[in-house]
Amino acid sequence: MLLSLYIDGASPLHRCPAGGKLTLLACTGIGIFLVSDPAWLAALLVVCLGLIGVARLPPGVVVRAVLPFAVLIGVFFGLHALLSSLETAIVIALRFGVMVLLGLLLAMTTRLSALVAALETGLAPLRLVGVRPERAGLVLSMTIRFIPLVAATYRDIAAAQKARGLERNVLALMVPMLVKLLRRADAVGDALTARGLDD
Amino acid sequence: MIVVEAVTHAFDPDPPVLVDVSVTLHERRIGVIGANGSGKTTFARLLNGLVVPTKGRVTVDGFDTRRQARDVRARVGFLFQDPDNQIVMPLVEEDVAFSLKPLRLDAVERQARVGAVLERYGLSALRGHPAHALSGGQKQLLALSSVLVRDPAYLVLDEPTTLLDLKNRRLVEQAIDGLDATVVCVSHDLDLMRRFDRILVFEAGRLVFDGPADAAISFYVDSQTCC
Amino acid sequence: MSTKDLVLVALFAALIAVLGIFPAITIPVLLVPITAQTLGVMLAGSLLGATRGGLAVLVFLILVAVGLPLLAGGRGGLGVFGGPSAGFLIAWPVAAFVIGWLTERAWTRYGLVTALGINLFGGIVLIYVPGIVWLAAGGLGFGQATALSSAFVPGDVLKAVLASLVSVTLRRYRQHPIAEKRAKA
Repeated sequence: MLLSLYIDGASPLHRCPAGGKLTLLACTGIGIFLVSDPAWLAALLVVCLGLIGVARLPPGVVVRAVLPFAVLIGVFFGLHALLSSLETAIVIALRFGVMVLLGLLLAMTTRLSALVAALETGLAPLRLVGVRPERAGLVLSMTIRFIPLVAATYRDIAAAQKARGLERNVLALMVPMLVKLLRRADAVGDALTARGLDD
Repeated sequence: MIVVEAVTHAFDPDPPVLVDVSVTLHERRIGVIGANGSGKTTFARLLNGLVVPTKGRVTVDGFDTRRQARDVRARVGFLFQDPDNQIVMPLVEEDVAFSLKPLRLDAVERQARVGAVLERYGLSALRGHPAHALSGGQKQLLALSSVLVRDPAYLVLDEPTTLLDLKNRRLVEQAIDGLDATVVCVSHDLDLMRRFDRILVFEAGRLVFDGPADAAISFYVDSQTCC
Repeated sequence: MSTKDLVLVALFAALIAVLGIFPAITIPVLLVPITAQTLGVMLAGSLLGATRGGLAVLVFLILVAVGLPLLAGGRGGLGVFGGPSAGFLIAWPVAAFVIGWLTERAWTRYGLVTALGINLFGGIVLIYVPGIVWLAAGGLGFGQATALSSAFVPGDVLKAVLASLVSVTLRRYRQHPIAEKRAKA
């Protein structure tokens, strides 16, 4: 299972600090809703495609990552074209397209650990309301670490229940799955305590 | 030196899992054996304060596990059976570095210590790899590295090789053999124990034998033979 | 929050991600593909309670926002929060929080009927209303947006039933994290 979309490289985009890229992406994400001129949006889309070139991302990989969105964009373009107007449809499809490409650019040029570190820094102001950024960073890291683990547990239990002829019984899958998950929470909690990392 | 004084421990409301255990540990290699449910895991957990006894007390170099847990844990490392429960960071080097977080080292020293411990356990080439991509033995070595990077004086191991195949078991055993720290190891692996200085045998929550490896293992094997 | 609470939050965020990878439920009668991720949202609320459940979903969405392809179909990135289904996504953590809050409130008389009521309200009403409003605001109009969304309702009702059964079962087995939290308090 490939969690991180990161593709190793040395382009200027790879070398940009993760926090900067993240901030820029967030601002664009909000700002783009103020733009409703298809020409400007199309220009932005071209800029995104240019940036993909600058980052030297393999086109095949980018296309494969865009594909899951393409269907959704297509469906909504069709719906809006039929139900509202062609211009609305184009604007919505372009906006979504730009956001998707920018998101992929960030994910493909930034290591996951750098993103988590940047988020931890970004959450620092929340200290004022009692949130401890290093704990938030720990939770984000642990989630990334646990996803393949939970997936393996899911596969094991699914196989065991299939062997018992219970593959159609979703409850027979979910109850043992959650019991295992809760036991793991105890064990991981103990391990963190034993490592002296539990304050 | 770890001193266990008149410890009785029960997980409320169940009957006690350890009954009146007193022992002083100072040998380099100490083994703990016993059947399932004999109390040996609870005993191991006493030693770094994961379990605080209901009666009696445990001290490590004079620090009480009840009141000075932080000092105790800085001295006593703990390795669990399943490394997947112990590794909390996505990448190999991140998990080792995470152990150093409370020490607030500067980046250069942190990197140096992480690098040294990974080198020692043959994980250098994997330092940027995701932890879930490692083999079972490599995961246990990573968990061990994450404990040892803090230079604990004592290391408690709770069945560290149980989940491993033969090849990986050898790998982890070798690593344990080479440790500078005082080792207290709970295991069913009698071959590993044969080389130890002292073995404690537990049965139904009581310490029933305490002595050199050969005598302890024969005692244990005899007591476990059925009929 | 204790260290174990942080671990629970991370594990349930991971569970929501995993439920998007596996096609847990496929119902041939319905043509719409059903993702099991809202099951994860309901489970997070029902099992962890308000704070931890809401945070688990929030953590999942943060990882999606920074680009992990964790939404069903392998989607991720800030783009999804500007897309047509954004209203549903943004409602998820609120739904988990409210499900958790109601579950904690109803704990002493928590049974299958109560659980189902809570999950139907939190997992369907609280998610569909903002979801449909966002869709409609995108230019579709309320009628179309509602019609389009209603195709997913039967699947979500099934998920609410499942989440309630799981939660009630764990409570009976004395393995429910909310019970543990109450015992400590």
